[in-house]
Amino acid sequence: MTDACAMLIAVMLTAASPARAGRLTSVDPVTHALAERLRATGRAEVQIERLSLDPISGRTVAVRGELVLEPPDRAALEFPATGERVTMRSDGGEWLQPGLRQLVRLGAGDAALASRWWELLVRSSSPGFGARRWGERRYRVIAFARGGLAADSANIMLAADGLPLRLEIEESPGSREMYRFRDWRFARPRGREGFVIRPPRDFEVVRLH
Amino acid sequence: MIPLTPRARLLAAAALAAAAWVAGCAPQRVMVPELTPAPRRARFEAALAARSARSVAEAELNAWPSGTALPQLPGVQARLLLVGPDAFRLRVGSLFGIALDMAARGDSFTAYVPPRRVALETGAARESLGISDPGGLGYRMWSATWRPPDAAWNDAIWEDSLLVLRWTEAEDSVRFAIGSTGLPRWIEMGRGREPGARAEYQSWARVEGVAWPAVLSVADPRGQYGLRCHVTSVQFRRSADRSRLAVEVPDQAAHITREQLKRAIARLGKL
Repeated sequence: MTDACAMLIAVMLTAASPARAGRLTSVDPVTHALAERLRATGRAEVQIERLSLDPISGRTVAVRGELVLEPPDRAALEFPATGERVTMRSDGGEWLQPGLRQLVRLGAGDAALASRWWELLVRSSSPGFGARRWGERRYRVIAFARGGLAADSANIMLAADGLPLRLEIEESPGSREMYRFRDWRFARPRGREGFVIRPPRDFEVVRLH
Repeated sequence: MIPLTPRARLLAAAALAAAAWVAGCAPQRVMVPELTPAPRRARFEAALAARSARSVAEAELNAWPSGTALPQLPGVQARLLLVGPDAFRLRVGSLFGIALDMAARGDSFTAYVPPRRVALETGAARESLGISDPGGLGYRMWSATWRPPDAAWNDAIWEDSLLVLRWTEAEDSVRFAIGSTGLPRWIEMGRGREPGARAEYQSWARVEGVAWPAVLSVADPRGQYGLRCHVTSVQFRRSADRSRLAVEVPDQAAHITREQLKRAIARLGKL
């Protein structure tokens, strides 16, 4: 399983070879199908698997979770195995870490940084992104520098129905994360309240300064 | 069961109370304090040999910074790799991936702060950081493999139940306390007569039969900066791929000084 995950990441990287780069366009081809479904329903839920290479052990670490999106500005991640949850809104967010028994309150700027790639999915019309096509349903997405955030890039692969299938982020050399999306579901929106985490009893609440 | 009259019950209770009283007056086993450091040294060296034999270890950390010079900062989770006798790597996670990736091998030291894209790389930490052998220092701290010289045992003193040893290492004066189990309790390292930074081993766990630090706190003498760490998921490895100690710094990262690195790390709390 670990070898298979490592192979998958290697294949993704190989697929993103610069030799196949296209011209920079809007991200509409990348987000069009998801944006249409979100416009029609208001809420998306998808199973995710986060794969990351741990350079200390040399192994690929896989964590399953769920991503929820509600336009125009709400995203939430939950990882049941650890109980970790993150919510991101344009006015801030929360990060619940049961392992540390703490809830971190994020300011708007922190949430913007944390939700950068989820913003691509939830706000398809955002002018902060551009895309280059690398192959059949494969794109290199550029996040332009803005608001104190440096430019960044990620690889995204779409499924046959046009919905995101994989998102790969390279934080730094040798430190990559891949999100695999499975079983997209769409429903009516539940509103902001579902994207606010209340601190459990005995948890420390820390506001980032 | 034979029914007891009220009088019989009273007598039985009195007999029980008397027996308890007599037992309380009986000679108690008294713990004789250790009068020489030799038994404690033997326990210390046996435990040290067991830890030192596990020269490659991986662990997870939950760590909480504190101190009067710091604002309220969140706890962090990190991965630690120790490769004896003189190397370690620490990767601190954040909501955005990795907040800090640092490694030291002997006198070389590299730290990279991905959110800031800044790095400090030096092959001579003593000159640029003022800390000689940060790799060895970090390895000994996390694994508690401090080795007092023989002379320190001769001059050891008792402070309550702790056996306290003193010695000097380069320009540092060291005080080192060993508990009755033979495990380190704390170590202080300072320059000259100045009080030094202190690491306390507050709790130990058994990992594959070896006593290993489970809760460790480090603080400067003024209490301005401190860190309390819970060490979990310790796994010993037979050998280390030393390439895993290498922090990859991207070409476009800005290279900074020690003071700039300290400021960049302090600002991580604002992310």
